[in-house]
Amino acid sequence: MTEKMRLELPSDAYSHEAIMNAAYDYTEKAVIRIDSITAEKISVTIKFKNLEGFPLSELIDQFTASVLDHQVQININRDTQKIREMIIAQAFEPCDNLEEIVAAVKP
Amino acid sequence: MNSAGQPYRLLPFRFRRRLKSVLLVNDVGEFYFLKKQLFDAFIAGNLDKKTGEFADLKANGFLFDSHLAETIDLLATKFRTKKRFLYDFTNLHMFVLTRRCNQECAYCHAASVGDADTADLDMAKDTARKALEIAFKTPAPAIKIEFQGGEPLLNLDTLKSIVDYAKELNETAQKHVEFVVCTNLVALTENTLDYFKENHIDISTSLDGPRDIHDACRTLLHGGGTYDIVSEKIAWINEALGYNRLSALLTVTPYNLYRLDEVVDEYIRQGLGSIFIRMLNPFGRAYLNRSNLYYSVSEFVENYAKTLDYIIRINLGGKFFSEYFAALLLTKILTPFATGFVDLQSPGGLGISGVVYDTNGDIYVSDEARMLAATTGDKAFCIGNVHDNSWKDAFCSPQLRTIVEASCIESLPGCAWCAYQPYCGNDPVRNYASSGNMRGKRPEDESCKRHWALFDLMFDYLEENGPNVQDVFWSWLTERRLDEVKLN
Repeated sequence: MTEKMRLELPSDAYSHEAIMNAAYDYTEKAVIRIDSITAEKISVTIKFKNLEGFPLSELIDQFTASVLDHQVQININRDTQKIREMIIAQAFEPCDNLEEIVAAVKP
Repeated sequence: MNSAGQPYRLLPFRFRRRLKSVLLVNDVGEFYFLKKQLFDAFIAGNLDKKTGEFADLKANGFLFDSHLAETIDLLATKFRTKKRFLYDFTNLHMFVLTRRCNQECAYCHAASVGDADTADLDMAKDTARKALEIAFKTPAPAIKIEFQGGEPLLNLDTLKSIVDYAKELNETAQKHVEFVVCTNLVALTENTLDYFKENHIDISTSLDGPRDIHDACRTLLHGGGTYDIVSEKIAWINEALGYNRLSALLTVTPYNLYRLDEVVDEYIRQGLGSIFIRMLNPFGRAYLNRSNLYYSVSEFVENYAKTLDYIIRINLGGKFFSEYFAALLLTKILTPFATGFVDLQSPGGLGISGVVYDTNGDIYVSDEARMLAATTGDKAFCIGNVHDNSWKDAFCSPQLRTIVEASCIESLPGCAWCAYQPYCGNDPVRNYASSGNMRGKRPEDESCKRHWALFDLMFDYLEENGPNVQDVFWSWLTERRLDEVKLN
């Protein structure tokens, strides 16, 4: 038995990218379609391939939690992106004036 | 305080929620189990600086409150160490000496054929010389030459010619050269064993368990089991070369999946010091016989976990015996070092860590790539031929760059945000064989599911932090006895 539900997530809390990433993780379990994106909300239709004995609402909650975790990860990546790039650059092209570079880049 | 008024800032990391904690893993593989109730405060910049958690997170590279340049430099050093394998460009060179075999194993993925004396099934000496010349062009200061088949002992003349020519080339190249032969031992004679001893050639073989298990899949070409022969030869080798010069691989099939404890006991009885519990590869005869050989990832992981626990108890009882894959994962998790295991690194090891020279001189980026070509005719992962192409043609080709790019998990959906990314890898050949796409699709990928489950298992042990179990793990990593590792 398959069931589907339409989910609306506020655009100011959940990005399109977070929903796409969570949808990718759920590829084997569900078919997820992004229906519309507006300034206020992102509308998603989720159809689970197999409820595996769980109520649909619980699976929807799990998906929503996954979206939230992806949003957290996106935020961390955004905030630390410059530092990450500097780590990799320093790993393979080390320089002696790293303090100057850090001061200039202001990561 | 930073410009946002926070007492500290985050460094790059990924996370995975567990039952009791949130596992944090940064880009250099440092990890930390953070209490669930502290995670939100941590990522918001509100973790109390006076707590032990703050000190731990700072020490392990998850946050900084000062000295960013020094922190970046330290993390960069660790990152470079993790990627050390990039500097040893193509250190493993595998020579397929023959496609002939004297066995007919049910799961053979090497597309071996019968033992007919057909010249075109063997690697000719001139092909071997050309392949060796290419191998010695590699920048790696140390190389390992591995002899494979079919059954490589059926082409012993070419094997010996490679050893001799390698020594000649190395008078100029001055590399550190090792040899290993992957053999089923059936054709091993005492003279050949003496030759291996004199030329420091290590031996790798297969042992699937006690007699009934081993003989279920590993049979002679013209009928009959091989357990007795293999057991006799293992005893020869242990006596002639000493223990730990022979390694044995286990292939898990439905015949031994639920009896892995007995397999471990058999390995110990035969004088072997470790076991590699590996899942069946879906290539060659294994794919053709899949209806008889199939088992699920969850079945494998469940039985692997039970057997790992059994092995740990054996060690706690005073006997050193390691599980190779667990030791590999722990090396990646607990140390900054690369392991050389080509399936668990990014970029993957195809071509850049290991390469296969087929009997006709075709150069493949991995064993699986060769098997794919042998069973389907698809040579998508053949990067040249020793008779037609130079080292540069093969190893600096756009084709190899494309393959390697597809193996970089930092940019693959699913892997890009996975907490286990610093420890893991991706096989474009396996992805291509199963889905037609080198990048694959993580949620449906059986390798991904297996790796995820096994990483979860190892972190279960690490989070529980039982002191005796940690000591066993460190004895494996350092290859020392348990009593030498224990602090108390």
